[in-house]
Amino acid sequence: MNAILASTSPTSLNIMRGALQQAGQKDLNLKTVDNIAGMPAAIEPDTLLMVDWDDGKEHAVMFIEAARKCQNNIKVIAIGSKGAVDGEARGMVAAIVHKPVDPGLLAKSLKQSAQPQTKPRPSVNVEFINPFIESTVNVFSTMCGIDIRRKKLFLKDDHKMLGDISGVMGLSGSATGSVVISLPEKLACIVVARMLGEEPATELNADVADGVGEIINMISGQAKSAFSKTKYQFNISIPSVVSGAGHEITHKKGTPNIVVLFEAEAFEFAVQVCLGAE
Amino acid sequence: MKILVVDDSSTMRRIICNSLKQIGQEDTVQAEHGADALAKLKENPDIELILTDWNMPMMDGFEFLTHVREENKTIPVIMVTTEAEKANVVKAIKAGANSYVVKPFTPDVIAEKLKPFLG
Repeated sequence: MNAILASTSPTSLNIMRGALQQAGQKDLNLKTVDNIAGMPAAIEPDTLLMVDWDDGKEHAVMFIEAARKCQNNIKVIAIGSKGAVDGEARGMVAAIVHKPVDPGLLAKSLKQSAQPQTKPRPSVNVEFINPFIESTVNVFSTMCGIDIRRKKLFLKDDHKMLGDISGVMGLSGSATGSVVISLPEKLACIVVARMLGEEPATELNADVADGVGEIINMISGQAKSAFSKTKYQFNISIPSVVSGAGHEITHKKGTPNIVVLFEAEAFEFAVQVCLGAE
Repeated sequence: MKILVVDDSSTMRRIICNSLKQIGQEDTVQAEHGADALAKLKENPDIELILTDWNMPMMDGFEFLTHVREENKTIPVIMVTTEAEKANVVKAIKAGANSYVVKPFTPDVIAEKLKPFLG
């Protein structure tokens, strides 16, 4: 059996190695990876990737993405303490195993993960995300005088938005899909007020909604312009805005939905890019 | 100078009008899209300068520009848009746009672009 064990922690790598041996795996061909650069350039189709979720979701997702870049259908098992791994890894991996690892449960998970996956996870094209990150930083800085900080990047399957108000832009061309900015109410009021040089509204209103629509228009437009210097060409539509706590925006089925979490003025907001090549 | 500001976003129209105020240009007329702008031009024959977005519902800024140039060859038209690709800038200039502002922008960019037309 070919397996790649991925963690930045030597202790976790030892735990995973020991657990695999105790789970009765014979003829183990193991490779341990403690950073993304160490991921093999070529990965056999039947390889198992065991990833340590206690490293933090960002690390775990990067290991998974790096492996899937080489082998899109690689089987992935997430190992982690009860809690974060359950909510975060579900849908991204074939199985989740809690620490301390029960060898019997691991053996069962290995058996399950060996079954052919009915829905191979689509590969993530990171070329699609960077122009949106750069344009978001630029729009906030130029139009609002707000410096924002990128916090983390992750994949999301559900349609529930992270903020109270979201601006949506449809894209077509080299790929189709959408880009969404989702902001908490207070931050949306602050951002729009800064653009206008006014005092922030106390709650969401038509002016704030219009301002959020213009922000996603500028983010998309600037990213579109950056893409025009690459092999990708896009057209943008007219923005729309959705609001309300827990509102949902559906994204293109079978396409990776990448969320970039930013921090601004002590609030978090998200830019969500869901683009699939035609 | 009376200036027509055309954009489907009321926020963007206000941002542009605020930028114009900073350089002493307070006499503005606003329109939500190209068709609305053509009507406002007829109602206000003393409009001397136009700032227009490109992507708008009903009638976009490019079509609006084309209609304006059919009637009036000289009124300055400045495109204020996210359409920053060179091909689009060339297309707009060929169709008669006098200048181009790419969103996002700071108020001093608006001031700089308007300077040649303020006399």
